[in-house]
Amino acid sequence: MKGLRGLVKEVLSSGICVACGACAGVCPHLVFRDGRLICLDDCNREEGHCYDVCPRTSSVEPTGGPIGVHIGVFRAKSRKEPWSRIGQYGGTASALAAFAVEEGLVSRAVLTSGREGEPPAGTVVSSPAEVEKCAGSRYAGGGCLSVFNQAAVEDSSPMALTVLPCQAQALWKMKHAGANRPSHAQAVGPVIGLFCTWALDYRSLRDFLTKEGVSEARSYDIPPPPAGLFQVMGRQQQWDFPLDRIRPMVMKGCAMCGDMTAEYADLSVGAYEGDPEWNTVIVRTALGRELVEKAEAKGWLECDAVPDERLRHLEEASAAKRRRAMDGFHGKSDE
Amino acid sequence: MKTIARDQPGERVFMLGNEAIARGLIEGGVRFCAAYPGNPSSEILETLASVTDELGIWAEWSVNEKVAMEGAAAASFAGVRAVASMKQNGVNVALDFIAALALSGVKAGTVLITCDDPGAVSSINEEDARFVARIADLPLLEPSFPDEARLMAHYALELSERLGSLVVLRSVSRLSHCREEVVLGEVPSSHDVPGFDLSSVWKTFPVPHYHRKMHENLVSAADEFETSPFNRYEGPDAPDLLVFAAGSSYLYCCEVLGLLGLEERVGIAKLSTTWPLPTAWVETQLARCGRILFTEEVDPFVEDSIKAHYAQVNDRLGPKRFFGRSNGFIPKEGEITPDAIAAAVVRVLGIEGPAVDDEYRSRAAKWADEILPPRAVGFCAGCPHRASFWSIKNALKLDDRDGFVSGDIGCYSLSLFPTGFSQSKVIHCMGSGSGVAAGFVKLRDQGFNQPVVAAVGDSTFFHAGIPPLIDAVHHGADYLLVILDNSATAMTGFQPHPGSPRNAPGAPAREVDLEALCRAVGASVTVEDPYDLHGTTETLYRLLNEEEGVRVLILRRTCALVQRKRGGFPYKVEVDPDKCRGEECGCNRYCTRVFRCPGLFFDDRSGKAGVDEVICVGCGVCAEVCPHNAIIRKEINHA
Repeated sequence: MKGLRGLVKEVLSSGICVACGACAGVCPHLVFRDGRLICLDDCNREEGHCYDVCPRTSSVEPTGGPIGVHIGVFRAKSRKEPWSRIGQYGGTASALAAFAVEEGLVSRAVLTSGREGEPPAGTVVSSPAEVEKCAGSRYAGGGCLSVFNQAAVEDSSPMALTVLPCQAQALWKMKHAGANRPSHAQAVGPVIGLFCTWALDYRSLRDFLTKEGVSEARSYDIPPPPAGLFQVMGRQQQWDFPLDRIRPMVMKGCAMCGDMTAEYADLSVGAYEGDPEWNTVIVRTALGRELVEKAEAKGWLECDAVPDERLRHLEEASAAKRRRAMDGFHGKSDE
Repeated sequence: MKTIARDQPGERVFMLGNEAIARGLIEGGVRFCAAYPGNPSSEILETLASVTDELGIWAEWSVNEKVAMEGAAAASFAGVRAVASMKQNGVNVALDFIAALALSGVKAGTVLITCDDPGAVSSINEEDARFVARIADLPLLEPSFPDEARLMAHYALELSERLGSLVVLRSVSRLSHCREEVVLGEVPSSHDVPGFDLSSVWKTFPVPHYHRKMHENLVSAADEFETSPFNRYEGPDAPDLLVFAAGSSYLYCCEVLGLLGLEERVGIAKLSTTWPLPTAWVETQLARCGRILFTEEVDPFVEDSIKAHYAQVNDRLGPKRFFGRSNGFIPKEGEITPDAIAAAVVRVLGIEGPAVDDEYRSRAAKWADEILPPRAVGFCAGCPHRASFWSIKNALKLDDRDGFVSGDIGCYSLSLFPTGFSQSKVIHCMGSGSGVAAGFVKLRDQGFNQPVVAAVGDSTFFHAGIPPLIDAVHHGADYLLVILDNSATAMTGFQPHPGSPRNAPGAPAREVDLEALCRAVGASVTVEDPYDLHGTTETLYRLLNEEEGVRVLILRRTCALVQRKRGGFPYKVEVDPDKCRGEECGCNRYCTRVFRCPGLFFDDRSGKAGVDEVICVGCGVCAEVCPHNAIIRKEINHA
């Protein structure tokens, strides 16, 4: 076991931190600020929670198969407003978080907010109205686990979490290596993972958009290939940037990540190829299945089968990310 | 009436060296006194300022040493005897004017007092300010003990007036800060009304003409010094070793010769008029002996002058061997000590030194090691600078672009060390932090992309920080200037400065508005209370990200020592041991290990932090530092 110095040396200084926030919020030495994890001071301890839970300090192995261990794959979309309208694609992820707090499955959920002009940041919500403010993809590290850490100190009852694959890995570490911090292990409730190919360094993106004269950035999207675009949506205007201009801002730690579908979540949600009205949902655990089934039963979600061909494409994309990560690990170029 | 101003000739008074200097100036009829504070010089002006009403004299803490010297010169031109006192660094600041004043000359007696700090106990350098006498061709006097300092201060005013030249009086820490019984002289009772004679012109042109006059002055001064009662020889007619003792080293030499029992073998040539050399007197001393040792503070000033003179007369005086700082017989750096002189004497004479038992020496060292707790230099308990640098550290870290601090001269120079979180990376002289910061960011177009914070105290800002600010604004330099406004010249003893509502004698004075001044030159200005760590950090973080020109952030909070005198703080600070996490993950003695206020301690037995009730001033800042809210500040009633 190692501590903060190990984390600084192996992760922060070497530039592979993905700003998940798992290390922050439990002590004064590490904080999350504007998309980055910052070490303010050395803690002088040989061992630390921060090192244990970081998804980059030890490799998190693929759980099995191209899209990880799962007990079901289907497509879904929200049947309730406003989720299908304001959420990403079918609005499934937002709807599930809203459903979990509305129905009292959990009293709180941890999401990532990112209002216009503000950096993405974790937030603890306890009503659908609050969930609404967090809908949409950020494409930049939001460090929401630092907020989870703080919330768990005060109250260790389980929270639902909507997170990126790296964050799901960190939560899995917290849950299973939780001897140091039992309150944090307990507080990990249903984990809704989001598909992710990479995220951007927030400060680089912010500076880039300022330089490009983007006056308002309400949400972002990357339309399916072969568009090769990064779209920034404002109220009145939309800015399209070639992906090649965006890639240099991708966090270095994302390139070494082979987990596209959040294999360590209870269920994973992502785009559904060819139909932006739907999401792909991968259910991985009994807890994940229970959440989806209840949401469907209560009329929050509509679920449908995924044709084999679509599933195969998803598996190919996921396997490609794994391959790229391994290449990156062995020093080959990313793309 | 205060003792220092009393006209009771013959009265014996126990006085500090600097008080004796002030008394000598009073006895010499000084009417205008200006200074900038700095150890070891400050007590001279403080003493004079305490008797302004009684004596009807002017005493001021000038904005800087150059202005002090300029004021003194004006008084002299108006027919009033004047003094400007400063520490060695101040002479550098005033040098531009001094060099011109040396040419123009003075009317009424005018003295420049420099108090040097050998060993740099409280200075940024250990400079020998006697160089000013050579650069500017000025007579230089070096008293050896307080009563002589009194006499020489008086003499300096008269010599100056006689020659029409500024005269330099040089003290050092051990003279300025030792005490001795002084015999009071007369205090003049009448004074001329000052006025400027329109037939007089004070200028430096034509320069060669005035330069010649300076040299003639030096010849006159040297003539006068030949018979000066301040120089004397003590010892056998034909000693085995002659020691030239300049200024304060004279007493050390007496002590060493007594200790070694060498009074009959070694002679002391006490030289207190050190420039220009009284060459005939010097030759008389040199003729006594073939071995010459020089003892003086800081540089081989007298040593080099005498050796240079000897080179012209060696045919008459025969071969000599010289020992001193230049060949390492006296250590080349650091303050001179009786031990160093004793070692040199013993070495030159080839005799047994004063033996210190090895066992005694090792036991003493061992005990000192055991008894003395390890102590790092640090800010006082409750010091606003600790809070300021805490926020600066955090803001620069959060900013994550390798920003750093260009520091300045004051208590906050300690930001070089862990007490200030080692934030300052560049520190040189008064006001330089701002100029250096601006220099860095002028490299922006060449790719210099780190943020730079200049940190300067209020008094230092007034002293020398304004021109670099103007320069930076004019050149569009983007840096953050943090003015640490603790409403005092704290490091040197809480003297007022232009931002203070009182002047040196304590009378009401108009405060110069720091914010208005900075805004007027075109900088944006924000004011924060450094005790509000969160607010200050956020403001710093925001200002660091505004890359438009110079941003001034004034961190305003009265020096904790001053606050204590004004009734202290409204808090009692305690640690809740149930909440304190001690050395656990998530803290690890954060308050005592990182924040490091001396008011906090860590109790190894209980594994918890605590508050030292004697040292804690009750500022309550640490309550915000504790990550687990274990430090509690309770409001108390001061009634």
